Amino acid sequence: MLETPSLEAWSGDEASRYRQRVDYSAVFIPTDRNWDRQLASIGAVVLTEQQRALVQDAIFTSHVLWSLVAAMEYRVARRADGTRPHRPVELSRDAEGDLARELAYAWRLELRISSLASVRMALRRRMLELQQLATKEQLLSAEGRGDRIADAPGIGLNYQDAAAVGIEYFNDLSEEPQGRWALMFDELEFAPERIREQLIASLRSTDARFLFKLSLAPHTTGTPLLGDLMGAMSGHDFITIPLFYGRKEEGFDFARRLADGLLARQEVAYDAEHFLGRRSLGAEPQNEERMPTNSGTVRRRLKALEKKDSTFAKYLAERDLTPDSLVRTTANERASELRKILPLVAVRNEFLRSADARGVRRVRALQSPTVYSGDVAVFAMLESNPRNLTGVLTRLVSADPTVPAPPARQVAEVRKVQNRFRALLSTVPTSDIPGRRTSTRGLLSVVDAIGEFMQQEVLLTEFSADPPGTFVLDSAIDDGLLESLGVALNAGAIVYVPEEGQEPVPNRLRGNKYRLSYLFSPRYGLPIRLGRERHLSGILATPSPSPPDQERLDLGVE
Amino acid sequence: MSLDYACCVGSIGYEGRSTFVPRVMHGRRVPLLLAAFAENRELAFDAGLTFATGANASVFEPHDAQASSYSNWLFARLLDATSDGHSRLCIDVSSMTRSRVAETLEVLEFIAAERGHVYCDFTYAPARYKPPPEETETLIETVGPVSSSFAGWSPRIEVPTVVLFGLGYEHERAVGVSEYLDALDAWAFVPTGEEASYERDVRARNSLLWDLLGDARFVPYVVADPRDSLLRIEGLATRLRPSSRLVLIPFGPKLFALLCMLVARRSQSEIAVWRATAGSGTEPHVVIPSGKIVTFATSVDEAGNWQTEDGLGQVPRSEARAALAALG
Repeated sequence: MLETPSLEAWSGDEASRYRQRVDYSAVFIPTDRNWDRQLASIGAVVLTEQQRALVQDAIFTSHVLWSLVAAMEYRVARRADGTRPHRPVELSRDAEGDLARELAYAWRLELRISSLASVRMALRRRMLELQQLATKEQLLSAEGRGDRIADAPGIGLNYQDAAAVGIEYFNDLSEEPQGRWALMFDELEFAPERIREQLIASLRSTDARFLFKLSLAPHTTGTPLLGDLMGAMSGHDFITIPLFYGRKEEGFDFARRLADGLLARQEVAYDAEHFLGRRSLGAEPQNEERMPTNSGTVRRRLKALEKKDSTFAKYLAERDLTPDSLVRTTANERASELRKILPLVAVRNEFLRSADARGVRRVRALQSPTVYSGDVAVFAMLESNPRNLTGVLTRLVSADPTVPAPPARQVAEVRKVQNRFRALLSTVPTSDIPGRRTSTRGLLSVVDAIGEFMQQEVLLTEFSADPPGTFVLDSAIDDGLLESLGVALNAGAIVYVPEEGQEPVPNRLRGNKYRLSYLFSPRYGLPIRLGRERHLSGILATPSPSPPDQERLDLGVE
Repeated sequence: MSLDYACCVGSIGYEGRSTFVPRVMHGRRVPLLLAAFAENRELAFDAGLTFATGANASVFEPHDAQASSYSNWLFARLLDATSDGHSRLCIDVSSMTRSRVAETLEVLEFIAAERGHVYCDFTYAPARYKPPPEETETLIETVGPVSSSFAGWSPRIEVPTVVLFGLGYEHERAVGVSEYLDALDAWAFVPTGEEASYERDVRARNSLLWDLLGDARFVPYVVADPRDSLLRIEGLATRLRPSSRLVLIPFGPKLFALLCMLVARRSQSEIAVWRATAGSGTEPHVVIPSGKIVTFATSVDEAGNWQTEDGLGQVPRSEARAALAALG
């Protein structure tokens, strides 16, 4: 979004303001899992580790410089309509040619034509040639290999030094001697570890022309988390911007604006609040405005549970409360009490059957439990994730844009996201947990263990206004499981919940508080709220429910 | 029909069909090179080993402390088998793992580099229809390129990853891997022509993917027509390549995995081929050949270029029936 093409394409209300605020040139440098595996495979058969590192670093440097040149090209490009809203540079063809030749000289490239496009092509060729070099070595003898690699073009060129030279040339030509460039590295957890360490160390760079924007998963094996490393200090050398929300409300503003914008572009007559509905029974209302206004309906729900669930009746009696008194109250304390228990009442009403003759409560399996519909619930379950929000809303609009989305359809679409997510989690192994089939189900076993424990506490024990809903990674968790939970954190299966005063991104895994993603709430019948914390080791030590209670599990499956 | 193969390469596994094609070839006195597996040495494995011994096959035993790797073993044997100028080989992929298929192709390329040109008739014995196993969510133990030479390479990292799947009974594994790769888009090839129940079951095992992609992204291919199937895969790959980095992920029949690897090779190795296997989470189960043998003739030259060929034709039914009977 910060790149020049994106800023120029943006036509929203605030586009102009942000184009002015972004007073640097952004260079987007992507990585991904596919590329990571490809890079790792280069020279895997015959090169030594050191030789592979040289080749991989040279490829990475070429990749950074390619992205830099692409950003330069865009700045000097001429638009057909003559307009260039963001940081355009006028460069004659001769000047561009001079720049291209200087870059080629500094970066040891062979140019066919003196132009920035030719520089970019030469860098692309270099990446291919380096890979071919490594492949050819499989057919050549080891003798002389070290020299052949060391002599290859691009070997030993450091990306930051090379980029600094390039920026200096460009800034000189564009008469912006202090022009700033933001190197934006995406998904750095997929870059080789030594490159990650170099980049993180760059946060203490003294070259004022560089800004670094690093997108990084919170847990990265082998690299200290941001809070720990190399003396860089959060708030001084870098600012952390979390893209996840421990507390669901923190993401709502963004989610709502995204949703409203998408609906408007699709010419839907409703905004998100009306398309999805205000009524999210399964989610704790975030403020008084969001409390249900129909006291009759609330009273009916409270009475329904009081009748069905003797432990809820007991809870009310012990506090000298009745459904009527709770609803009538204007006292702050009682209103707060009501707000806290409403989502618990909703899920227990939805999922619990009345107790049988032996007093045993059982749980219903529901296809699309509608307590999880409504704007707040949908935003929370999708963790305000733009990709998931866009996907779900697009499908809901495609189904019928003329009416508000039916609750059952909303929940069905969110469940599809959940199922896809579970399919992703099946790629993550984990160490053994007694009583769980971790060897065959991996991380899903851990997620289910936590979910089933919470389900037990929320639905099947005595009614409590504050059942467990979060967990701490305590010292009894072994390192293998901890590593898997780090992967779960990166994937979003568990979400960090910082305490007041804590860094927004965890600087270590142990000792911190987490919750399951709200995406799993329909599956286990959980309210969308934080809750009391428990130690994870205690949760995992709780036996898995026995087969006759199987219907308690997988409440939202097909 | 003259079947002038220098040798037949195959497997000894828990599947009954692992020795089906080797038995046919043994009936023609074609020397056998059979590779056993380290795991799941049960069900039809012992019978396969007995057959191999009786047929004087050269056997690769991973448990053998003296053994080098499968690749080294195969390379040495094939070099030997082609030393008298014989350059036509039969390679049965029916029970090979995807990694073994990849390794076999790599070895064949090395042999071609030595010998100038090698003709390879790949065979595949479809299994008799069986409903899918009951297990649903299973850990994917290994997810990544099928070997380092099939990792693919495209320096155009700015273009998105697009995945082409071959579907099988693997439950919703395609969706999981698509999410893992954060693929922008996906297409899925569905095996057809063998058994309507199988097609229906494959669809049910991948219902999430179907719902996600919609019918238009599903391309049928006929298992018994590998030449046409190769064209379909390659045609789609060619169309998508300019704007994406392609990853082929072949679930289902191993023949499809072979075709994907050939397509990858013909792309100058730009296209990646991945696997996603459940490993120890999968229980071995009985697999009986249907009696058909699909043959796909190719050749590879000394520069590693793969072409389709006319080959020596299909295996006569009478010989297939005899081998099936011998399997019991």
